[in-house]
Amino acid sequence: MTIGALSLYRPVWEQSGNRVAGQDEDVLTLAVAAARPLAERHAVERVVVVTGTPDVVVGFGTGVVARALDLAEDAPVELRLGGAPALLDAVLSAGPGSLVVGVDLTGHAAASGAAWVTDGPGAELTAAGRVTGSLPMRVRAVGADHTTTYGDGRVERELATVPLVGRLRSADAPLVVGISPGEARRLGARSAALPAPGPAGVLFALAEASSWPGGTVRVVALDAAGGAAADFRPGPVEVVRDERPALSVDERPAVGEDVVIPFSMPAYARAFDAKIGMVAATCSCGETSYPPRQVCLNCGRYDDTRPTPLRRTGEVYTCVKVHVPIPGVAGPYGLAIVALDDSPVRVLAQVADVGRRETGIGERGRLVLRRVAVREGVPDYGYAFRSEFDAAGKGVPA
Amino acid sequence: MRDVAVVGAGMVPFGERFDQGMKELLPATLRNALASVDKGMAKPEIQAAWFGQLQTSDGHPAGVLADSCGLLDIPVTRIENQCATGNDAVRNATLAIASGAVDVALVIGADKTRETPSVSTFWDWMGLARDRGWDYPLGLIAPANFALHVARYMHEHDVAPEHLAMVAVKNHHNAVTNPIAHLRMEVTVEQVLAAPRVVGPFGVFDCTPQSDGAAALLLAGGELADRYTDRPVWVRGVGLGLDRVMHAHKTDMTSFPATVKAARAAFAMAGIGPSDIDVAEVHDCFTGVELMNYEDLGFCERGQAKKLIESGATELGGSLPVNPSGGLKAKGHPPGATGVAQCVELFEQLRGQACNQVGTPRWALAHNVGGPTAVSAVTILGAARD
Repeated sequence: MTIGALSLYRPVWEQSGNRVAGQDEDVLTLAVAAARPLAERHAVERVVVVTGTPDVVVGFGTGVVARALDLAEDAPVELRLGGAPALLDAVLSAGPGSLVVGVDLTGHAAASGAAWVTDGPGAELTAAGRVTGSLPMRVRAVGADHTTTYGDGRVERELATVPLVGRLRSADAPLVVGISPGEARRLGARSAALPAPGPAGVLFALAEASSWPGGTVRVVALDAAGGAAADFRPGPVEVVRDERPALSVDERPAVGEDVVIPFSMPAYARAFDAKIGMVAATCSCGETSYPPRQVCLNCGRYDDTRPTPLRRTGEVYTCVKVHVPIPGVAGPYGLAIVALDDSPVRVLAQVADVGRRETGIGERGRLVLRRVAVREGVPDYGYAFRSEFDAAGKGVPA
Repeated sequence: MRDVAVVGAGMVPFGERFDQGMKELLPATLRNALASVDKGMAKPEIQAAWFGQLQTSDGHPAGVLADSCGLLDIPVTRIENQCATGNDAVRNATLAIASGAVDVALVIGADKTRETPSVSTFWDWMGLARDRGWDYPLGLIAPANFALHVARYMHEHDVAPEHLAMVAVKNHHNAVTNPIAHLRMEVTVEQVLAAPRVVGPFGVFDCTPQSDGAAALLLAGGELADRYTDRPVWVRGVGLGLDRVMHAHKTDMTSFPATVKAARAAFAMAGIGPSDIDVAEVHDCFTGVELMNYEDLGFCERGQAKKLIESGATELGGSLPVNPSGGLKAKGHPPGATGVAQCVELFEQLRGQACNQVGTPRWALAHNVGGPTAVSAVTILGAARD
């Protein structure tokens, strides 16, 4: 299998040295954050999202992923449950044109990555062993808030980690995902700073290995009693990183009082394609409307339009910060009207990843998919404005 | 068209009226309006009623008015046009009398803004004005709705927070001597600037309170006016204007096109211009909005509102007092009642009997702008019939 490109995403919020998700992020938005840069650059025929920590199982927004990535109508999006080994399995079994996305999302670490599989140039990944065992050191039942951990780390080390690494490694020091850097050293493994131990961690490890001098690297992915190994032969892999300077989680907007926000499924459905795909309507006279409208305000024609994809970059026309606590909305939050590039269209969006800093008129940035609200239990996705300035007011790539 | 006279006007105090429902507020307001008619008016003389109410709080609005006030034998129409509801109700009744179809009409506006818990109130009101699929989930609350405009307006015209605070200081000052006002307290520029922030440039003292209240006018055909009073006030112009509903669609957010259109229509009907206005009640739901209104209504050139407020011209005793009642900012803002209450104030001003009387005005203007800043209504009242 050939990996042509890798994309890595970490949320901006930092807590105890780790990055954690924003209040407007979930497995789906983390997946899109990593996948979108590759979908913009390459033809994607199918998407597999691998996560060991699904937050939505029934009603997962595969359609949201498809529209947010501008996939073809018939492109399948699959949600697969599993840890680091499952990510290696997914890449090894993927055909050219596949995008394999890994998401780690827990209360203390969040990251995502994506790999684009190609039949063109890239880095080769070859299967090198698989072990499936049972040592349920950590268990989280569906609906449970916390994970139950068997309280003896040496049991995992002696019964799982040591024998698994022994069986899956090659003669050279392997790169192991799913164990701490200290454990890796003790086992004579190569060390890499990985933001998360699961599926996303594997993709960060591959990106790390792609820059190492020398030949093939054995990658071993562990998940308690299971493990998978693959040989990664570095090649021309494009690596895209979206890792902004950290912002303390103390500045992360938070929901104060909670409330059930009314939701209309028909209104959601009517808005969906244009909203999540960011597709405007252009009348035969040239007038562009977003959201698409039936009657052209320029020439009066009725429903004579073609869909027009919008750019996701633009400039703030006006913006405000909402300081007053609004029940059910994480705050303080910013609202901005953003004039999109190369288009007469402006969009209203919440401001993402900004902390205490106030966004200013004229700031440039990008619209990114976020979970804008949860209404009557239904996650509602849309676009938020992410400035090209970080929290300190310094420029970062949009 | 037939001339239309205002022959009576009355209201109830604005404020937190937890003890009064619609069924109590409406009869009390009608009684006060009838009692204000110099030569008296009996309830059966009213031939039709227009009831401005934005939020339904006690069920079917028209039915509640007819039932609670004992007006079961006349047609009652509920008007809902967001925060322009009050002056739109005045407009509808005016047109009915002007057409000759009705001789004597009641215009009454009322709202109860505190009938649901404060935890849900923002969502209740957003539900009235936002697209459920697009803007509603983003938390575009009413103050943000206006703050997005005012932030851009301040940016383009170099308007300082102090200019906004001056509006609050002025209107709070006016409300102190208005017995029906909700917030009868002075504030200083320093207090306004130091107040807890709400949205963008607005602090707590830049925002209207949530008020309950009701106000009513009694209108009559011109030839019938002297049956009721020797000092009628005349409805000389009415106008309603609309604009795009989504903020992203408003091309120039430093102006409210709805206001420009409503004012143009009302001035054209009255045959006068902005410089003829002697006193005005304008929609100051948030301080910066009053400044934008000065420009949209033609009281000054674009970008000159800060000079106008600095000059003191819009204070009591100035050349064009604005919001002598205290405005929405301090008198209060029960949306359905607000526009009608503005006309109650101006009725009294034009008759020389207002609590904050501003000399002997001849022309007065009432203005609302509301909803997703997509609708405005303007009423021009005159002391003279022609």
